[in-house]
Amino acid sequence: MHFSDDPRLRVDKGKLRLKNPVISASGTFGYGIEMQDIAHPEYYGAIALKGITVKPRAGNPPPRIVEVSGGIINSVGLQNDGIYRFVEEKVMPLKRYRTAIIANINGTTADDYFFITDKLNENASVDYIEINVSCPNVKEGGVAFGKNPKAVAHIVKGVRAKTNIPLMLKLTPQVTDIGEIIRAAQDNGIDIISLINTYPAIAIDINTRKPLLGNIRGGFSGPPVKPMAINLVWEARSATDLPIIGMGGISSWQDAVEFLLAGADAIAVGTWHFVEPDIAAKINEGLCNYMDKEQFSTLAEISGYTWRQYNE
Amino acid sequence: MQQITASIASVRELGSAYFFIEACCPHIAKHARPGHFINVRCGSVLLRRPLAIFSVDGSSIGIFFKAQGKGTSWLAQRRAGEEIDILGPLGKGLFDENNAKRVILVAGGVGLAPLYFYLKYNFHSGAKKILFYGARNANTIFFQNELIDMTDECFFVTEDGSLGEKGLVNEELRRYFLTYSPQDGDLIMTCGPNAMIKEIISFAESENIPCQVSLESYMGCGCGVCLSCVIPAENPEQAGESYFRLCTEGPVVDSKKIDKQKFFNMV
Ligand SMILES: Cc1cc2nc3c(=O)[nH]c(=O)nc-3n(C[C@H](O)[C@H](O)[C@H](O)COP(=O)(O)OP(=O)(O)OC[C@H]3O[C@@H](n4cnc5c(N)ncnc54)[C@H](O)[C@@H]3O)c2cc1C
Ligand SMILES: Cc1cc2nc3c(=O)[nH]c(=O)nc-3n(C[C@H](O)[C@H](O)[C@H](O)COP(=O)(O)O)c2cc1C
Ligand code: FES
Repeated sequence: MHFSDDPRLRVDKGKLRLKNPVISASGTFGYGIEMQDIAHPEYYGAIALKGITVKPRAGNPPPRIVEVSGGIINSVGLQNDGIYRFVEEKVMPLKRYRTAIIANINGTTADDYFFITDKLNENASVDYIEINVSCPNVKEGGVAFGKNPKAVAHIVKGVRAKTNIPLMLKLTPQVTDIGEIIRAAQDNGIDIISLINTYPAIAIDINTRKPLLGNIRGGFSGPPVKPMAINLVWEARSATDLPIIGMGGISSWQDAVEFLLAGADAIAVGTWHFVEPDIAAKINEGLCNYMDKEQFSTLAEISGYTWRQYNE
Repeated sequence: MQQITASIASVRELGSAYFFIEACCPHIAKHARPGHFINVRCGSVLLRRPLAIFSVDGSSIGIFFKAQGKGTSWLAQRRAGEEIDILGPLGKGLFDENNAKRVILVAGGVGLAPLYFYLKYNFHSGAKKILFYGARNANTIFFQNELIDMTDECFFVTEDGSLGEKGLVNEELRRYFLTYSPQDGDLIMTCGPNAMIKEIISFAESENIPCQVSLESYMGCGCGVCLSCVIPAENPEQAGESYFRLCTEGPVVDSKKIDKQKFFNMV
């Protein structure tokens, strides 16, 4: 048996039910099958597919990525083929693998989110819908919604009315009080909280004196954001009992444990896929060994362990 | 595609910050074709660095690179017997001579890498092979004897005239065609700095010569999952196809596939 299928790694909290706690963060693992030679989809508890919009989107002009300060800034800008081609072309090929599928949905208006949800609901092809209100790379919507509790409430309520598919809300780190946003979502029927998306960032070439990204601004991710992401997971855990998916800078099983201890129920890997494509398998193996060594028999015992020491 | 910890068989410093490294990776060596690249983890830099496959020798592959910044400088300091973490072979768009009768190869600097591999791989093919290889000066033109052996005609071009013709490689190409006009069955293959590529594509298209170009772009994953490496596409069917991924649809593409206006503006 592969570590990824070890029953001790099961996640079973509220609407979040996964065979293991490792998820691929949206936008960093394509549509799940591209790297199967080295990173098999079944290593993952769930795969969050690249963000989709109602209409096809070109995305931002290149260059779209640059390495800075131990992390990266990306400005992909939600390039995708739109909802109409999504289910047939992107979801179906992944269906034959034993991993949960998460659709990451995006809009420039609240109606966009409702429309996409309607379509996803019609053929019930995905296991979770992740409402992305935190993309820093689009001019309209995106992170602007995620900073505003009223907008979050409105979008979550409308999406909820359209479907029984479990709903996740993907949060931006760019808020003063993450609890306020979480409560707005929880009051309107959100099932799961996922955080964090990237930090808005700019890098400039001092020789050409031009921005290094075609879009000027992008979103910062990778190892340097980890401690800040853990802080937000801790805050989220203090604000809600809903299941939490923690992400931001995870590059090893030790990082995954740290997120779990702070209050996450599952974790997602993003940027590190580009460095170690087989990271999911390594995290699952590391978690199993950690559980052996520290005598944990379920993942739930680890989740929030440290947080509880200071909050109960 | 495979991720492998490969043992370094040899490191050769070629001079002027250029290096040649051979690493043992049987799977990659077996499947490598001209145009393929690898993505190498370089010490403490985060993203892997893409490098073209330059040669295959038994179960080893060779890479030919210039130490530019942190990543490639780290690589240049490796010694035989050490290990490097490689992902490859990557890329789907490859050099393909099809039924070309005369293949004109235009290389600039380290852009020689995939074209060298092409010449070696297709040594026995029927096509006539003409190489234009440009560099700054005589010290940065490498593998002269092998290149002369592998081609029917071989022109070296240096900016200062210290070896071969003086000037730019695209000017030399133009001059060649003034004497020997384009023929049916001609095919241009090129790789090098963007400024050079721009000239070569413009020339090829104005003369109606098919042109396969190996491009570079800043890459995240190298495997098609991050959408970072994109190039503007000519005549997209819908907005979602306005840019194509260089890592999976290239790195070698038909010049007709590129939206030249946008691409030339970028470079
Ligand atoms: C498909 C492909 C094949 C290549 N083949 C060769 C080759 O055979 N020999 C060779 O010498 N060079 C090759 N290059 C270029 C090589 O990848 C860069 O020189 C190298 O990434 C520089 O890294 P650095 O850390 O040394 O320099 P840095 O100082 O980090 O960067 C210098 C420049 O290199 C480029 N670069 C940096 N990181 C990346 C990245 N992750 N992806 C792409 N470009 C990047 C950027 O333009 C940057 O401005 C190839 C590039 C591509 C895309
Ligand atoms: C290239 C790239 C593309 C991304 N695309 C999306 C996206 O489409 N939707 C989304 O919700 N998040 C997207 N993200 C954010 C990641 O899912 C994740 O939240 C963030 O990168 C933090 O995790 P990390 O530090 O492990 O990368 C993207 C990140 C990167 C690096
Ligand atoms: S480098 Fe990630 S898609 Fe090409």
